[in-house]
Amino acid sequence: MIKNWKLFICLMMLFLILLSGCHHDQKQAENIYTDLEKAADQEKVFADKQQALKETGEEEQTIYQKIMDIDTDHVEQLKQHIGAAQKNNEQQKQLLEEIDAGLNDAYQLSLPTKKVAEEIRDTEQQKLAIETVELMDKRYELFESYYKDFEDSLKESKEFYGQLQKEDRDTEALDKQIKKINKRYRKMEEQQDEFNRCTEQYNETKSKYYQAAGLTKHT
Amino acid sequence: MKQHKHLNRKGKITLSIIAVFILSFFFLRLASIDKTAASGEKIESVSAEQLSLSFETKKAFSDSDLHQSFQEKERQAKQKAQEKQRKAEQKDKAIYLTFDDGPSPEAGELLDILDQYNAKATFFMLGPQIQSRPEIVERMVNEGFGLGLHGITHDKDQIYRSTEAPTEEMSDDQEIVQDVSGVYTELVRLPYGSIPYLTEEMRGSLNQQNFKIWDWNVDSRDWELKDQRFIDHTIQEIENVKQAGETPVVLLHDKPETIRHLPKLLTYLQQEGYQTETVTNKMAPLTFECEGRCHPING
Repeated sequence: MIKNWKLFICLMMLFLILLSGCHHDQKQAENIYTDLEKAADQEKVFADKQQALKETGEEEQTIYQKIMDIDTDHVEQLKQHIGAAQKNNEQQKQLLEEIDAGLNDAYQLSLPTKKVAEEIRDTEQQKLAIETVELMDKRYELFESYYKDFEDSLKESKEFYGQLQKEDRDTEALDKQIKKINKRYRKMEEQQDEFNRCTEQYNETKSKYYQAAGLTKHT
Repeated sequence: MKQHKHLNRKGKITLSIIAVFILSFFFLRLASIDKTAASGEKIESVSAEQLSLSFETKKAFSDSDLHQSFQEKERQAKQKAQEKQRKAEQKDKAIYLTFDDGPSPEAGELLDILDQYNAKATFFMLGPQIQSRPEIVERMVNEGFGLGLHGITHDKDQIYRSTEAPTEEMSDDQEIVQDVSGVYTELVRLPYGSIPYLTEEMRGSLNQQNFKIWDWNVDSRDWELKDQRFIDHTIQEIENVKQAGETPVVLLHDKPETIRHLPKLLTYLQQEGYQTETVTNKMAPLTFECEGRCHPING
């Protein structure tokens, strides 16, 4: 009989360990969920400002087209359009900085997740949580590279309009400058696609993790 | 004898209560997880945002009305400058004497004669000749003569062999002149002139490197006549060009026959009040227009 009750006590201990393990991972999942959802909420700033930048960029295209259609005899009109394009360039720069700050804030909110993910005991859950964190890191890196190119394209546009209003402008150099800007635009478009693919992966992996952690069933 | 220890009644009850408590907790926990999963209760999840900016490429500047308008203006300004230059030259009775193929072994003598008449001239020289007589090139610079390029080989099968060949020869020659004299010159005269072997593509290549292609409007024919006749012919041609309202640019060669008869030409120019000038990088070059006459050497 003494053997039986000792076995019984061991089984109870095992249950207790199992229970504490489950409870631990559940707690980590809740922490991760809180941080990642806060970060996602913060990205709303990132999205809203993008709309504003998109519209400002389209305005610049219109101004550029007006400038291209003008005749050098209309000096005043040309000056006016160049002035508008330069002002627009400043606005784009400002919005781009706000977008960058929006994503950066969101990224900062997601940073504690890294440490928490490493402490998860369940192998599958940990793998998904770490993958989610890594995808967020990658998104951030991709955006930083995209931001740098965007910033450079604005600098190049500014130089272009600056050169255009000079008396001794070099038309060949101006043509080269536009080609340079267009080349950069194509690069940025590719970077944008890559960022979006990474974002999709991030959202999917995050949902999979929530599901594995028992936080939600469906995505 | 085996001894068996039995739990008393109180012990059994306590153990049972603990067991029931632990098992209840375990099953309740499981039930709670199952309930969440089975019921499909969703924990709200916000998706991370995408990038949605658009980048329509800009219309090429070279295709725009503005670009064409700028070019027209530049063309007009250039034309105006040329006209101004022409008028100034007419007023000064300017003339450009140019000597190709040097510096020859007699180049020193040539410079002495020019100095004697206070005449200026421009020398379109070959790279290897410059390297053979660097001191004469230095003297040209010190005495204010103009330096120009005539290539390296002076072989039409070499210099016109490909689109880039004239540019390559002139660039090499340019480097030699600069090394020897410290003078940077963009002035170019093609062996045998730019007609017929200098194709439009070759001209484009030279222009891209900022070379200024100088031909002539008075051919002295010193290379052919070699005696007093070339002087008479040159004087006649100069008069014709002047009458046409143009500034004479005279083709001569740095060679003994020319040098021998040159004083007669210089005397004439002096008597007629001509001002000999040097060609410079800034001047609009006098270049033969292709007008369908240019073709590749093998074409």
